[in-house]
Amino acid sequence: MKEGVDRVKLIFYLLLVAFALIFPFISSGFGLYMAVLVGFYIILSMGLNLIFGYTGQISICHGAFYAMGAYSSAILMIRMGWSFWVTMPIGVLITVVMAVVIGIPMLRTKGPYFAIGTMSLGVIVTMVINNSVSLTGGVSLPGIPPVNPILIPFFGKITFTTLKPQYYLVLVLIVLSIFVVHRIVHSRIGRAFIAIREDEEMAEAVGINIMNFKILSFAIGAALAGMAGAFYASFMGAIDPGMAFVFTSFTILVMLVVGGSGTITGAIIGPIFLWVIPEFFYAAEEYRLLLYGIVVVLVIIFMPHGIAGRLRAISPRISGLLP
Amino acid sequence: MEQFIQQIVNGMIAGSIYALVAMGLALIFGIMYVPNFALAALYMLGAYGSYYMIELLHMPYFLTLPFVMLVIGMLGVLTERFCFRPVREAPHAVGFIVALGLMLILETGARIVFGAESKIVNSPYSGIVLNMGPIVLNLQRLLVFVICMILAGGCYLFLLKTMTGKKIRATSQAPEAARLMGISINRMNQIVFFLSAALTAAAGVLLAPVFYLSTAMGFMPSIKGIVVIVLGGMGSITGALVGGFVLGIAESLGAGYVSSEYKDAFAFGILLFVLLFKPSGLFQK
Repeated sequence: MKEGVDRVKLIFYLLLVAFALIFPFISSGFGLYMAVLVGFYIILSMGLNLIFGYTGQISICHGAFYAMGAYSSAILMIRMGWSFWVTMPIGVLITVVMAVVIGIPMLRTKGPYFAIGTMSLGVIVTMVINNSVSLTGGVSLPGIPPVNPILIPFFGKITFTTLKPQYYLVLVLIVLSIFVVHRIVHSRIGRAFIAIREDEEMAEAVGINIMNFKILSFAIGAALAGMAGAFYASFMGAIDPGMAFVFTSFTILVMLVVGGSGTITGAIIGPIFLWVIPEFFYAAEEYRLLLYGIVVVLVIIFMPHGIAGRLRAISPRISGLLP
Repeated sequence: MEQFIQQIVNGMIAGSIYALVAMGLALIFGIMYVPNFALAALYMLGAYGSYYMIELLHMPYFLTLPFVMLVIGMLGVLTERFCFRPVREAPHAVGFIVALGLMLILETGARIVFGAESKIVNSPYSGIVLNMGPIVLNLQRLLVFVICMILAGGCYLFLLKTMTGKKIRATSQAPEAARLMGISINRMNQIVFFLSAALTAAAGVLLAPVFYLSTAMGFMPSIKGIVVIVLGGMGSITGALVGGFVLGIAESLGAGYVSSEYKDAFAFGILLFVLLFKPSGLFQK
């Protein structure tokens, strides 16, 4: 019985991987571009999933971490001329440090207070970026160099100036995120997160240091967002404070909830679903937002665990397939 | 010194709007423990409602206020019935997301229906300027203050003195006990939603002639309103009233004496500062 299930799982995952790998060869330039953008949001949702889906903290400042990673990497690349492969880790580091610094006071607050506090943070970060013109270029920061090429002996150079290599890079980052999140979630740390989500007081009573674990989830989530941000900066070539808008954070949360918070599959399905559907119907930007609103309200009322949750509820076998 | 008084007066006027919006938010938070972002959209719809009543029905500006309050109040009741009631028993995060989604729907729906260009509402009072000693006052703004006070005061009295008001407070304090006493939770929720929608829409109508109308106009006032209720103690109506004025004045003084670029940031800075020391807000409920 177990062997049969495992084989189905293997084939399922292989098909998925194969599809992801050959995708650039079967889609148009625009589709590929969209795919990369979806990829960023998948990484963002994964990060938020740790904070919200597993630890239960409603964070509305994820966009701010996205922006921190992006601006750190971009400014270092422009001002210091460093390579992306140096600025990205630094960007992630800066974002993590900021997350911890912010998290220590903020995470002492609960539920709605934390949500509003993070929202305020988002507003403040946006304003700071907007007003620090000499550092961040104010309303826009153009001229960000693309990701530096990698030299592989005997193979040659991989340059990241066209869509295809960047697609594969975002794919690698997604796989990395999945790996990190999966390992954490299936460890004692992950179980501590879930305990905090389910019943904070009980978790504390059982001896879990909730502050430490909350900060940990916050930091790792922020790290993923920062990583996505750094690559986004080089991908787009220009960034603006809009990344840190409260609205961006809302969008990430909506994608996660619709996909299914608390599941890894959800963080992947959510962004795909919310990008693909409007594109499929050639919907304009305005209608997309309207659609998001309608979808999120309907999903949360009828499927509080998102699409992934609903699919998983169908049978334990499917539940095994979709972590 | 004169500038100081002027700043205080400006602050009181802005504060009265914040107080009104905050009261709406506090009312709903009292029964649902969720900051209802959808009120941001209702604020905007109030302003747009006034605009269209003037344009299409040629109603005089001051008459639009009661009508808009009524219409948007009913809209609020609809949102309770169809969006919030199904998730009443669910964890608060769910209600939070419903409120968010609703705000998205209403705001983008409005943008599609009304168009993205800014509109202007003309009030016969905007042009009149009063000089009261050292202070310069725009009549419209004075009216904003006066009507806000009337509405807020009226709501406050309603909650404190009338039987229905007491039932509402009972429901928010102890829903199960209230139910045992024969109070219909559904009915109370409907009334609360009507009230807060009407109050927020009124704020929108009052402020419509002062700023251009845009579909995102409700966002900032609502977030600041949320800041106010956190500061005032979530669900505390008194806290919302007082907090609104405190914020208005603090903002005005901050903009005048510290920096006007970061004016909007004061609300959030204050909030973060308070949360640092009192993670549960200034007043307990």
